[in-house]
Amino acid sequence: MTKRITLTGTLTQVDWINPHIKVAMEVKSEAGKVENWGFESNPPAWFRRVGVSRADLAKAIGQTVKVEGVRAKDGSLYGYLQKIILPDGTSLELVSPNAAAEVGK
Amino acid sequence: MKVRLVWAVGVLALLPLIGAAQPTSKLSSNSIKRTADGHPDLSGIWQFAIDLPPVALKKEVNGKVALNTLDQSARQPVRETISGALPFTATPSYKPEFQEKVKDLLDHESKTDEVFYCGKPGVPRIGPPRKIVQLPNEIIFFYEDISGDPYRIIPTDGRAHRKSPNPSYYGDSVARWEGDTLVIDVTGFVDSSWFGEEGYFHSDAMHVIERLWRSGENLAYQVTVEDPKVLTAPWTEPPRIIKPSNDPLEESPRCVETDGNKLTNLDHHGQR
Repeated sequence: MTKRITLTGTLTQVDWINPHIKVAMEVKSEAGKVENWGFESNPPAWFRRVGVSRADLAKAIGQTVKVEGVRAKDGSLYGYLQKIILPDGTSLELVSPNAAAEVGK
Repeated sequence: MKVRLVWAVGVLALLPLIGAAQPTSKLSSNSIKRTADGHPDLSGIWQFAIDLPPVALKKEVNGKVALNTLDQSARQPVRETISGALPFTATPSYKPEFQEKVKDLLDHESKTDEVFYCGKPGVPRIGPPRKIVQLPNEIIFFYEDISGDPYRIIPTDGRAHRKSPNPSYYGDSVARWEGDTLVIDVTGFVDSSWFGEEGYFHSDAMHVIERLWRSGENLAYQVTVEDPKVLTAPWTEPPRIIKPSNDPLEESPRCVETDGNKLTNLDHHGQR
């Protein structure tokens, strides 16, 4: 139904806007061509309430990040960000609330 | 002036009767915080009550995993009866000729819902306020919303509605106290907003009554929607309980919806 993708590239932009935050990154394709990918994710109000600010992501602009997301069905270089791993190894991931039980194990 | 005086006298005359008919929370009325004029004090910052994605954040730093979840209880209707609440039903009752329209709007919400494209939710869809400042003759509501951060200045001095107010999303509001319940009467709406996310359209005749009262340390909020043009009867929604909050209000970032053309289906969720 949905296509989950994983990309590694350079974070170029973080827009803290409603109704979804947006990040942009440059990704080198297998053919060596640089592609400009865009991802949106949950609303700023959601990130704020789980303790993430724009600065937490923006500090990685110009550095390499790894992103997992669901690609837009129209096939464009666009998707919904589900997980990002920052240069310092910090991982931020959108998960089901039921995952709380798993984390507690 | 004369009209206002008659209205005010009428309200004063009715107050004892209304109070007697209301199942107000007398049991806890002695313990709630009150203002100098004796009314319950609704002032304060209240929990965020706008719909947010029902997911949690899993954060992993140096192998240490933490899960940050949201408390969206202020968004959820209370299904059981709570003290002070009016009888309610889960859904409104549309006239038969409009029921298909409601379903069609819901089925195509990513194309038909103004809120999807950063539009104002209006009253009552925006829900309870994030902050209340209660003054002797008016009460001020502040909101945080994806579309912006509206406010409402609501007179409580007995005045009537403005004559012929321009239609608006948040309407023309006047309020009065019925016992320990603040009752806000709202009219003068645009006819393009929805009063609920499920395609609940309305006409320009919509009349909304919001009720707010203290439920212990919490705020209780309940809405009645009247629209004789499209509903078979007034709809009183399930109440909500909103907890106090220490989270200060913050300016909402600008809203720019850009992925509408990427949607391959018509509902809001699961579109990708």
